[in-house]
Amino acid sequence: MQLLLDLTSIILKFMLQFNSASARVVNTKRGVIECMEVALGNQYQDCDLAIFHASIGHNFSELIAQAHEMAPNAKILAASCCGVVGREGVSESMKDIALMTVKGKEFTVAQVDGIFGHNSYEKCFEMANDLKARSGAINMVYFLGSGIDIANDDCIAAFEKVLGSDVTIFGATSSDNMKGFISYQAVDNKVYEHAAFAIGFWDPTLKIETQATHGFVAIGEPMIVTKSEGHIIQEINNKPAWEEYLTRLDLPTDSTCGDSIPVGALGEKLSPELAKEYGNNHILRVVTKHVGSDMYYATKCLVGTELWLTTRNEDLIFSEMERMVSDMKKRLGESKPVAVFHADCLARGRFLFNKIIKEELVNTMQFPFYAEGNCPPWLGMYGFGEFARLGGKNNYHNYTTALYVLYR
Amino acid sequence: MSTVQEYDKLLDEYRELQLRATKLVNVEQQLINTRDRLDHELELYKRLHAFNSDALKESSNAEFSSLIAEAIVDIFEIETSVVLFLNKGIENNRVLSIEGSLFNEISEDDIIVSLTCLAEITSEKKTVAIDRKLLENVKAFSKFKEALFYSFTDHELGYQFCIGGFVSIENAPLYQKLEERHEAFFGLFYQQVQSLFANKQKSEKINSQISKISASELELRKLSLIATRTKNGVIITDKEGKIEWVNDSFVKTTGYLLSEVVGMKPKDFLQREGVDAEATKKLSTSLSNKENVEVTIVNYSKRGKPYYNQLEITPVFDDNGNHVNFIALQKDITAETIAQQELLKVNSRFEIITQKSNIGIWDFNHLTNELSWSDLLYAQYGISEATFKGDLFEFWKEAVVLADRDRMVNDLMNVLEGKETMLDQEFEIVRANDKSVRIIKGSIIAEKDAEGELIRLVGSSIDITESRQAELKLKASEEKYRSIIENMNLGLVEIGKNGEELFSNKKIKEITSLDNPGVLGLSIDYEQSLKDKINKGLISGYRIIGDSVFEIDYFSKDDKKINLLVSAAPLLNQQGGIDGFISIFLDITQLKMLQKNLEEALHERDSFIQIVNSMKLFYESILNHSPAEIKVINPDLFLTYANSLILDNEIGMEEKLGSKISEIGEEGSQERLRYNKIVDKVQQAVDLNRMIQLEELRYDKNGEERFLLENILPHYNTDGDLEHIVISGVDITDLKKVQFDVLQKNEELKKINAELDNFVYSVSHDLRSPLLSIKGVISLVLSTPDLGEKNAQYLKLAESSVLRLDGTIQEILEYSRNARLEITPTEFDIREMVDLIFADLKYASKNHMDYILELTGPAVVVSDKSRMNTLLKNLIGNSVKYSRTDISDSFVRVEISSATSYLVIKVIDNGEGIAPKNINKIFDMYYRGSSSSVGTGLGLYICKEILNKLNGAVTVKSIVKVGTTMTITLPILKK
Repeated sequence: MQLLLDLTSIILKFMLQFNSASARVVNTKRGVIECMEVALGNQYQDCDLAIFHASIGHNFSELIAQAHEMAPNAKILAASCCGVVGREGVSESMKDIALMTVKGKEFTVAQVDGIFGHNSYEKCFEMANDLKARSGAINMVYFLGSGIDIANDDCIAAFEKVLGSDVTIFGATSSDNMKGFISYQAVDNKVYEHAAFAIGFWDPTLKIETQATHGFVAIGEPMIVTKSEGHIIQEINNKPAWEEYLTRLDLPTDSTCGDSIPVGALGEKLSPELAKEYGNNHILRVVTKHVGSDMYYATKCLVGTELWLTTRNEDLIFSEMERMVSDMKKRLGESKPVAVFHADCLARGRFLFNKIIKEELVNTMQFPFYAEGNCPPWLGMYGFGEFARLGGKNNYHNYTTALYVLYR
Repeated sequence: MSTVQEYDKLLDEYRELQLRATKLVNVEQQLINTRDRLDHELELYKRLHAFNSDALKESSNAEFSSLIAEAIVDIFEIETSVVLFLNKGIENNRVLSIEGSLFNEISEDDIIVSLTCLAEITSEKKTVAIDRKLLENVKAFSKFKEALFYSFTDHELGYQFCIGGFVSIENAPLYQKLEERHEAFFGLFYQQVQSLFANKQKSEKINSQISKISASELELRKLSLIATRTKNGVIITDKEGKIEWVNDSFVKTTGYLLSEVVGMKPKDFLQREGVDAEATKKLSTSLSNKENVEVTIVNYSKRGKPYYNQLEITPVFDDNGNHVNFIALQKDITAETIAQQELLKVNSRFEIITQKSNIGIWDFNHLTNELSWSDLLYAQYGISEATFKGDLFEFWKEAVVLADRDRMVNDLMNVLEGKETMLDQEFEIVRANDKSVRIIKGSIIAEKDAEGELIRLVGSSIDITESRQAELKLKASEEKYRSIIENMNLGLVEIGKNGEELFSNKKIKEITSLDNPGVLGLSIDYEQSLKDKINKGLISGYRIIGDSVFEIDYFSKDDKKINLLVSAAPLLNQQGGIDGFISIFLDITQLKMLQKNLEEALHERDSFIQIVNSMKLFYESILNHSPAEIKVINPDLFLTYANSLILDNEIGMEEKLGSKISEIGEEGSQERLRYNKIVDKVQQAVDLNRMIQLEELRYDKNGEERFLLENILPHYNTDGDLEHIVISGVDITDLKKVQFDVLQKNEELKKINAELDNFVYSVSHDLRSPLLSIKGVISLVLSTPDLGEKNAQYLKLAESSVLRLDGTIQEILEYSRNARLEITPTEFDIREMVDLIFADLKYASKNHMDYILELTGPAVVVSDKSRMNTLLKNLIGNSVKYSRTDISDSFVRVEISSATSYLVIKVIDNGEGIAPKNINKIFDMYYRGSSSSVGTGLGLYICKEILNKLNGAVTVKSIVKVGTTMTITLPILKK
């Protein structure tokens, strides 16, 4: 028995270990201290990587400075969001912080600054090559980029080009409090506004299951994209895109993205096979920015694409969430989750549900993964977008809850 | 209605329905937004409530204001907040709390000034929401878009409080626009803050007062208890000095009851006129001035008994500074005073004793920090009390030598700090008057009170320099002798008259490895004593060496035999009786071994001499049978050996043996000269450290001339020192004769060769003249008309033969010239030389030919011009002669590289070439490549001879039908 314990402790030394915490604290430094203490006790040396998600009201320079002070040898990453989900529950305020710490060496971090829709492929290609050059056999990549003006399908394509399509891309795009005004990313000692980072995990004992669900239904006739350039939609139904979009949403002409995001989920039709797996006929997309009439779509959008307006269906949201979690549990089999990363669309937060229903939804997704009465380390954020596999391929989603269960 | 119309109608309705559905979604969202806003406001109220709860727990102003700053950001979801608390009554008493990073680049002072400025502006407007326009006017807030602000001043409590929440222009889109509800909510918030703060301040003030009162009460209780129970007398008077209260101790000391003395002044019944006038005056003055005073005064009890009263009087003032009372503490110190007087008497006696015994005394009063020295102590340190000015302790420290100073001071400190109560010291000082170093032995005693507190230190000091010096001298002397005995190379054992060991030194223990070497000590009958030791197995034998001197055989613990020489003597006491015996042992083991080794060495030496003698005979025999005459001289040039051959051959050789060779023969005689030559060569051979040969002529015993070749060889031993010089002579008389004959024949040959050369030259020269005549005649005949074709053909054949013969003769002449003539270095222009050769040969080619010259380096060179011309002419001529007729671009190219010391000439052509098998033959005399070859076969032979003469070399590379490259390397000659 002792031998078994010794062997286990030896093996554990060569495997990545995860811890998490979340808190709502006004003062940024105190928020970091509280999270670090909860996640690590006083064993700050057990932190080789710290990933912070913090709502936009926090000062990111102070956040990373405090984290460095407590764990000077750790790689520090941070991203802004609209709210966080942790083991402790869900919180959507201007002063939330959530943390996932990683102990171990089997990971590599790559980063780029100045990522936009027009250069998303090149920037991610650069990161993917960097990861490949400095890592072992990567089996999954946690990707987090600015959620404003980015072509997420290009990002996936670039990672797959270098690392292969078998490597799972999971993660989110960072946001503000749904204003579409700014988002922050921080790597080590610097805070960026249009950056991205990718964490390549290459712990061979670690596996991942990802899935996303939304529970929205398409309504009416689709709008047709009649003019576009990459991820920028210029015309819909032969009319200036933004104005037409607002008209269809019955929103005033001076509305912002903050106004349109809660009601403006756009659906693209899926093939019957994918629709079956997805539990929905449509995959959703968000518009996070507009410049004049040009709408900045989350992925490339070709002329002729049909875009459906959608509406949420609360019952469907719950039933699909239960189905998704149940499917994932089945796929996990006897294996145990060691950490759960979670990306949720900010429109699915308080702008969709009241607090009680939101907490119920989070409980629905967390409880099935409990082991011995404890929630696994959990790092979730309300952001602009989510990555999860669909039809066996890496894919990008909006308006979904996406879970990424890391297990052994 | 047509179907089309119906379809269009249905379509329009569907579109309308679709829009309605979208609108419904939007309406639903608006409802959600409203619900969210209400939820959110409820959340904010909850946060406000939480703030109230937390605020009540905070105690300090700093924590409270920090909590407010956080609450503003939290409740109003605003970017940055600031809280300022100014206590106007107390300078620099301010608390500034900031949440958020917008003020990072602004100084605290600027923020405070800006906040107070904003407070002044807004107080009149009664507003809490502030727009950008107003903020722009305040320095620290110009980058903000909007703010919530409120300030209040509590004049009663004397403080000002400012609170504010700000949103920057840059981040305004992220935060909610401040609305009326915010203003209202903020109003509610600041009212709560104001109320909390006011309550807090009042509560703090009340608490502070309660604390003060409690503290005063406690203090009063304590004082009352002390005053009642103290053993000292306590008197409280009014400001006039009239008694209001006395304690029990006062009653016990004086015998006066409280009721008897109330309203009286203490001086009126405790003092007597004329007693302690000085103390009385001091007391009176201090009381008049309402000052603290401390005096010792003689007072009288009710029964008239005097006592020493140590009195301390303190005036008491109220909070407004008015003098209200005196409090007097009195202590009866009669017993102490009497004891002190007794002590002074004892001290006086003690001083006399110390004076007599030369002991210096010092005394340090710890309470007063006073240090006093006795007269003798002053004298010990070479100073006098009358003239000394300064600090005694500092003087003492300086007087202690540096090496002891820190130790002494530390010792003193240990006593002062109570770590030691008694201490002996020894140290050195430099005496002030004569600067001599003195050794001081001192003691310190600490006197403590009953509580263990130090009262005074008393120290004694004795100058022990002289006695210490004497001690040291004695000790040194004793140690010296002890060291000698301990370290001497002789073992020493002292035993008592009964044989018990009294002393044994280190050496005897070392020799015998015994812990008790006394057992080897000899007693009265030495020989019997030795026999006893044999019987006891202590020694294995002994031999008598002399009177009381024996050699004994002793075996050590490891069974090693040790030879000891022992000499014994009795130790006599002053009465002449025997107290014991001393035995002195000398380990002669090594000596014995050396003796044995010496004997063996002498034996070996004899054997060696025998071998050497035998070898000497052997080598002499060899030398005597040698065909060479061998003689040996030593480094001083004395002839030490001559073999039998030289003894036979050289006249008087036997007499010369043992002589110095430089002195053999008469002065100026042939023999002296001959030997002097040998001496010179010997010196040369020694200097050069190698064999030198000398040829000499000598006459033998028959008077015949004999030539000797002497080999002079110096011989060195292994240390490199010259041992002798061997001169070995071989008779070369017959060889000399043969040599002479050969020289003679050489001379004859040279003569014959010269004649032959002259002959060849003359013949060649003489032959050319008639040949040229024949050639001229043939040309003349050929120019005759009507000669006939056949005749002309015959004549041309004849002309051709003449020309070839002339060529051969010219070459023979050139060969002869090369052989005969000496090398003549001449400076000439090689370019001109080659150009002339090209010009001469220009028409010799059958076809067109290019003549190319490439020169690298200077054109003017120094060489044998004539030979160089012949050489180049032959080589270039061969290229022309053997040019190919089947090509039209024939060439000969001469490449000349002239350097400082060498000249390299390449003659390159694209002619017939030479077959590989013939290349080695082309420089042979009369070699011709084929029977059809044009030429005599002497050209290249002459070239080779010239190169030999000029120390040059030639290499040839050639390919048939491609061409040939001749490369000549010649040294540049010196003019």
